[in-house]
Amino acid sequence: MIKLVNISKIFTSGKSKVEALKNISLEIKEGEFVAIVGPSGSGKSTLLYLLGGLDSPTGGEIIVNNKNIDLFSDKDLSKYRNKEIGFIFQEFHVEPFLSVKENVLLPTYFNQKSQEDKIYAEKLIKEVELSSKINSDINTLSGGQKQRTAIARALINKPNIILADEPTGNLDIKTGEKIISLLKNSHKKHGVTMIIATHDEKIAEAAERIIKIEDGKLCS
Amino acid sequence: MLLNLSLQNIKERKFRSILGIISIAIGVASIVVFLGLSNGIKTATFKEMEKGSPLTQITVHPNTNKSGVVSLLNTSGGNRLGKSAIENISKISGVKKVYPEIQFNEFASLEAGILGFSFITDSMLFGIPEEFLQNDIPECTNVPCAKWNVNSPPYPAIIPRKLLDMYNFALAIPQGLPLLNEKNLIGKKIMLYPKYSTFFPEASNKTDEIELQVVGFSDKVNLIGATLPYEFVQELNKKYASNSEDQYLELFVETESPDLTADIAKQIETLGYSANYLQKNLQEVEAKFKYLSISLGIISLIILISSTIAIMSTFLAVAMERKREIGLLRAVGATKLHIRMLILYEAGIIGIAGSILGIIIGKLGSIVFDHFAISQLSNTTFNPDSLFNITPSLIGIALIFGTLLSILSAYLPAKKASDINPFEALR
Repeated sequence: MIKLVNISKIFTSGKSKVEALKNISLEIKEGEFVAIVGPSGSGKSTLLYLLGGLDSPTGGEIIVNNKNIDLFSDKDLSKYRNKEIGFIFQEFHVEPFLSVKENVLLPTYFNQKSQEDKIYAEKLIKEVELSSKINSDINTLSGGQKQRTAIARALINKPNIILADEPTGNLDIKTGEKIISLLKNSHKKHGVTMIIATHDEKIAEAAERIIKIEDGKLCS
Repeated sequence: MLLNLSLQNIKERKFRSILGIISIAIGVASIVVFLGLSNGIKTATFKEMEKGSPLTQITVHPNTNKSGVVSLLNTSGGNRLGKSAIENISKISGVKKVYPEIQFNEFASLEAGILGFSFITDSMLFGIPEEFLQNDIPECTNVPCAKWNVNSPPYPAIIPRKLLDMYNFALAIPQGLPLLNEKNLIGKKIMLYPKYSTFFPEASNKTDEIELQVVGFSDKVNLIGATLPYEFVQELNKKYASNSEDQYLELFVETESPDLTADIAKQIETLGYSANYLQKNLQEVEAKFKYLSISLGIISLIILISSTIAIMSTFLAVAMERKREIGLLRAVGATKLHIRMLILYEAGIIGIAGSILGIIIGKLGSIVFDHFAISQLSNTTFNPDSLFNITPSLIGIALIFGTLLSILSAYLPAKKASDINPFEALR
């Protein structure tokens, strides 16, 4: 269970302040597929990054599995991101000098690595239909293939939560649809809580619940 | 796995990595060359000193509190060296042999014809038992040498080896004269004029002449004159000196083992004599060499620090350039420590590679330098095998120092990289 209580986030740059999130309270059940929908700059990505422990809120509490993640130390927060969260980014963020398999295995570098990880990585790569590219240089892959690599990477540590920030934002419509389909399948197959931030209402339709956000506030 | 990532990063950024390796290599090579040179010169000097005074030798003087030429000229003060001194010193446990040195107690001049020129100069004459100089006289393998007789000149003369260097460097090279070497001087005839001086008017008449023949060169003999076997100087004193009494200028004490030398020297000092031995002199020379080592060490340190500053700026630039990568690693579970370690591993690998390269460059540089320097020294009696002494411990120090400095220089960039906000890096 994820619970956000009165979350606010203010970005400060010099003397100017931008209030990205304004007293957001929200609950997401375990295993739920949620789409956070809003226009660019509405605060949906910020909300996702706060949930993932990549930044801390200015006010409020983020409770994940009954624990306030804002109180975590750097080590605990890293462990939380490593074990509990799988990130998928709009710009893929794959390591350019690693192969497909090495990219998928990247999160395992920061925990107790086992031989099973490699087998599981191969299984996930097969699942995202990249078996033929398993040892390929990531730079030779298309955008859609890179994003599929990122999906496999997000799943490698068997996280409870997948956070996808505009996962189709840099892809054409057809490839985007395939990625959404893959995310839906992954949600079903792995039973993860899937939270997608998107500005595209069509993509959001794949989710079980849509949360609208505008100007840092929830609309529904 | 972090190490694997670091290696991948190094491979990915080949050009910068190579520049980093070269920076460290230059610093480490300077350490190897400068400290190796300082060590080498020290070792060569010690070896050179050992030629003149082996580790089993103690030189005993009357206790005049004077040293050098002054002590040679002053044999009147302190505890004079006579036969009783030889007897007392010989009784000390561990003493193998005592060799006395006497001098001709009158003025003397030597005249030699070299390269078509005739040279005449005042000179001192010293007498030492043949046995002491046996290794420096090629034609005399058995002692006493049956070849020479006090009643039939020529008398054998041994010349200080360093005199050759003095002639070659102070006279021959500046004046464009031919260089001299031992081979072409052995067998050379020299005329000795006893009681004759080119300086003092009261001894300006040549009253007699005796032919000498150069039979050897030695590092052990006095630098300020020619040395003859003991009985020849004794004979000259009997014949020409008003005071022919045997008063020894100095004694050369041969010990049974180098380990006993210091202890025996102490016992000689308690008898009231002044005792010098190589180990004691080495300590003094070593203290002086420390200044050279420190100076060269500081120069190499400055070069190495410049290299580390270059590495630091490279890593700072790389850390900023890799913001997104660092953000991603943080997103997938890397702690701040992981990020720091990732960059420090890279610095360590660059440091090790740079240090190894620096050691190789330093070693090769020393070989090239040696080649030229040793050929320049070939005309002198100072001809060490190498001017460098690059010991395994120096290589170890250079390797550790280069690697540690590389890691230290990357510490600040690593800290900056670990403090990057992943949210800002990924957006």
